[in-house]
Amino acid sequence: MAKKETSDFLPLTPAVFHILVTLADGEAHGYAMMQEVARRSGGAVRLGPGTLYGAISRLLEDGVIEESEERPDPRMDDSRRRYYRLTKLGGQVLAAETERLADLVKAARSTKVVRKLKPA
Amino acid sequence: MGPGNLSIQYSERLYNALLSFYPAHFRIRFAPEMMQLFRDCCHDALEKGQVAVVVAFWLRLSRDLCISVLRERGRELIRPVHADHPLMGLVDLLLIPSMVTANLVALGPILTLLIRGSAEMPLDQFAVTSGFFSVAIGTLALVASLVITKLRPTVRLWVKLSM
Repeated sequence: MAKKETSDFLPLTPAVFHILVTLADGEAHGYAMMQEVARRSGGAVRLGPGTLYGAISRLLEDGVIEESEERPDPRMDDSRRRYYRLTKLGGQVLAAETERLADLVKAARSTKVVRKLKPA
Repeated sequence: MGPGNLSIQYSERLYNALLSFYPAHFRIRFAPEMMQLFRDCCHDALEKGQVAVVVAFWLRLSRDLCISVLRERGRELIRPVHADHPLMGLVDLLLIPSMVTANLVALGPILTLLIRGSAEMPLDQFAVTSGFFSVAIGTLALVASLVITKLRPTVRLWVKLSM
């Protein structure tokens, strides 16, 4: 199978983008990701187990994230949990998507309508 | 054992049973983690102690379960079997039409009976008509499979964007 380019992953779905942003701060297990995504989005994005692990499955398959063997603190943590972290490709995908979104926001902000209207 | 623990136990059993709707390879890989995540969420919902929170949690979970089961089943359908091997690509291409044809070939005689009736039809004519229907259905299945294979990147993109 041909190796995927960074641009092949774009645009990311909101769920995947949030997961990658969460993992950009360090490795995390499923529950931590779910909590962090809800916190970062102010509760607007709530990932269910099926959505979360569906996304994790695809990201693992594509080499965007990988399973981490390290445990932050084995005494404090449940050994049944699996931790995930960004790969180098994952970092590039996240950076590319961030850039793409920033360009979009910039373009939207330059329009008359957005300049005139302020969010309620 | 308190009522909270008991309800978590029953909820876990129910969720564990519902996980069987996912495709086998997905279940084998992720079911233990999903169960752990479910347990954590159950504890969270119970800690808040309100019935509304628990109900909202189950409603959200049911929606998530329905959507993600369909999505994973859909992925299963469009996933090529070892697509990196050319022979497997061929198997991938022919698998669906052969299965569809095998199932539909049985429809050839049935269609013949339905359309022409069997009472006054000689056996050789029945065989020819029935064979015609079978071949026609098989050809349609092959064409459909070719179209699906050609459209696979589009289907993938559609699945990706719908997630």
